[in-house]
Amino acid sequence: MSGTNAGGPRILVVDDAVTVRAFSRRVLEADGFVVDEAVNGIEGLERAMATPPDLVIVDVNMRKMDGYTMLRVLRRDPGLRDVPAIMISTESKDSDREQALLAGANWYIVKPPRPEMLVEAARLLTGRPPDREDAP
Amino acid sequence: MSELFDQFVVEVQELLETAGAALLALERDPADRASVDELFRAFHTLKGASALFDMAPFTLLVHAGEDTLSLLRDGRRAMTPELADRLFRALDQCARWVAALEEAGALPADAAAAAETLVRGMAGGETTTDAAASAGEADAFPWVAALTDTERAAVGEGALTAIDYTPDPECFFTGDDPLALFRRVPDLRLLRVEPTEPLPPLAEMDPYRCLLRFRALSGAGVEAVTPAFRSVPDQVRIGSVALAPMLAPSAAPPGSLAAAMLDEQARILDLPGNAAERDSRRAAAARAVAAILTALGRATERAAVEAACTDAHTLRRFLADGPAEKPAVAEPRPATAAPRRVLRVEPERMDALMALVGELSVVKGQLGPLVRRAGDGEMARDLKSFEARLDGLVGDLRHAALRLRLLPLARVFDPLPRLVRDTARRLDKTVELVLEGAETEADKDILDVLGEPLLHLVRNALDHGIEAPERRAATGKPPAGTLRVRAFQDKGGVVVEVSDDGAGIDPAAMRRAAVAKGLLEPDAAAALSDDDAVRLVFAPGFSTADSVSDLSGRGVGMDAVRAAVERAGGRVEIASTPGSGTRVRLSLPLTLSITRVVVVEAAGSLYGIPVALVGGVQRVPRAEIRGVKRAESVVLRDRVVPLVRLRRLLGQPGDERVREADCVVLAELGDGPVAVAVDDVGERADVVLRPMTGVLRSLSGYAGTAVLGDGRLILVLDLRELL
Repeated sequence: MSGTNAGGPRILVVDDAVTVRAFSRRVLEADGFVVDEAVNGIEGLERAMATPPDLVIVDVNMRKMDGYTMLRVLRRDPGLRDVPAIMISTESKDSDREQALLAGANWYIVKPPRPEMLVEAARLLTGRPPDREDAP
Repeated sequence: MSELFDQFVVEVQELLETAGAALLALERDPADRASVDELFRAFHTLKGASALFDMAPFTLLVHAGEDTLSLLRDGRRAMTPELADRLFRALDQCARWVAALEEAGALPADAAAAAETLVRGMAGGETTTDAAASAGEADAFPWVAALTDTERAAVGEGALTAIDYTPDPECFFTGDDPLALFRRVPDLRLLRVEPTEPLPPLAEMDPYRCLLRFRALSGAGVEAVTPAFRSVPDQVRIGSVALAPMLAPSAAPPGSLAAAMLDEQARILDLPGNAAERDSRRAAAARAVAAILTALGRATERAAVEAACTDAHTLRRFLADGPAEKPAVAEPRPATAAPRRVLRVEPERMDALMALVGELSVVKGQLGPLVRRAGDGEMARDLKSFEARLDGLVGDLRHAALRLRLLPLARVFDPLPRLVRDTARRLDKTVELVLEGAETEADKDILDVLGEPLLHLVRNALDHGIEAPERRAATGKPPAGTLRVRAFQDKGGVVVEVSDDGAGIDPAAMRRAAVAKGLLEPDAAAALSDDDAVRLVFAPGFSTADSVSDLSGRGVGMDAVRAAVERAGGRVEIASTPGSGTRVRLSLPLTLSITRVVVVEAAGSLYGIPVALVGGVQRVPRAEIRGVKRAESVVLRDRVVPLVRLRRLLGQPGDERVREADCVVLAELGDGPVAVAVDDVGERADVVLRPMTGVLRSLSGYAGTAVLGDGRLILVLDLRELL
């Protein structure tokens, strides 16, 4: 995969809740990912442009710039348009999922994510085997 | 999870404060969109964060708050003082719960009931429950996509109803029997029972708490399933799901997350949008598909994947046909990268560091006299430059260590808007609160000292200072009073001023009250300057209020304020103009760990006086000291100041030497300056104050002992007690 570096695939977690970021960081780092954080869409874009991640996990509702806007801008950036994205939200309605995909998400997870679900999704979208035992 | 929980607690406290502030602003100006948004976001974030933990009543309550605010935001509901009260109550409840969680690790037993009451209050009679709102719509049950093959085979295909039920841990006491509820579900095809958290060891398990989560699939429709859960609408989510179409085994195991994700990428290709949008979505989907295939050990030519990512049908066929086999790229499992994290340090360790830094400053100070003794030689010069470098480093270290403990005063300012709002509402007064300098920093110890006195001063100002609107109008003032709380850094310390534009304090009334209470003789009272008369509010047991209100008996509180501030080595000043307002100023050192003292000498011993209390040092010619009986006084800065001799205060023999002038330290105490005559005044020094221990503890008049830079011991005086 492109962008894979010595520290493992890099994941950018964009969420304004420090607890959610800490949760994601803990879960993902324990699985060998390198985690970068941003508190809103603008900061998320800045981080992504500075160091292109292998995956972004983005919250919907954030001040300054929400997740939808961030994904739309990300998808317009020549260098970042194909970075896989997971949108994560407390809403479980079909319409919310649809809106996330329209904005450019590749997958949608309802908060709170189960740790193993988050890890498996992250592994798949960064090209790592879903289970260590399955690794070639 | 405790570290995560700690973080959660901090975040919740911040969010509750933000929400409180936004609610205050919104109540004042119901059209304030920014505040509605802010408030909504705070509730929304609280909901998301709390859902990570086992605290359903909390989540339920903030969810209801979010719903209410959503109505408010859309103009379907109006802001009223009553609604504000209810939202405030919800915030208060959340704060209490977090405190309980922090202390006991669990919500109180009545949490669910309390949440329900508050939720009903906010709904204002409407009954919108979670289940009703989400039933029929909710389909995002992520676990459905991750069923095992066996489960997948058992449930079959087509439209199903998913049930996500997390019983309240106390459900056994409320008469719910979770398993029995599922017996009433028609066409139950799958029932999964999982612990909501890792189960504790058997010996610690509380068998009366339900720690399970139930997930089920039924072949019946939502409306047929919902009645079974009528008694627990707040704990269950019910919705219809359609299982993702089975994909050929060559791409991913059917029913796996990978299969669902691959299918989602196919769907993404068919989403509407303009050419640019569809193009970039296609690029992202292609990369996602390539990654998923790689993860599955089926790394595929990127070009082939991209070619297949034109529309959903092509991609599905590509995936089903199975891409050309290629040896999978073995990806070494990366080593866990060093995480960047915020350090949380226990206060004891901070204190230990501060104590060491303090000791280091003291030991460093001993180098000075050594250097001076070394004379002028080459070694002395080297020593001198070494001392200068050490001096700089120790200074930097001390500064850095101090900074670690500094926190913005916002911490003590934050409760004020709410306090002012509630108090003003109770007193039927209108008050504008102006906070300035919340970003000013001080040591955590100092903030702890400041909190209570500040609340006292604010309550006092509202209760006794600011007049009722009618009375204000009658005197030509705007009906709304202004209360200003201002903080700033000054002379290496921090200053907080509380000022109001209220009635002020009448010196004549203070004099009369002092006489009436027997605190002063009438002629002594008459002799007091206006400033000194106003300062009587700090005298113990003094109160000017005719009746002590429930909010504050001014005098009593002011005495406590002064005591707290002076204990911390600070001082209190008051200035008041009858008819136009009062200002109280608290000056505190930046930290309690290191005290700056003026070293003075009396009868051959050294003593320290905290610099914060020292208004000045000067020589006073003997001729200017007036003696009346045994009491002496001196005119300093146009004021008659009582003069006391430190030797006498300490029970030492008087100074027999004939001197032209006396060394006088002007001590600024709450009830006016006092001139303290000493034999000599030395340097100012930073010392680590050690409280008196052992037999010395019974001595009054001393704040503690300290070692000077050159190793000499001094006693630091507690002037307030001595005088």
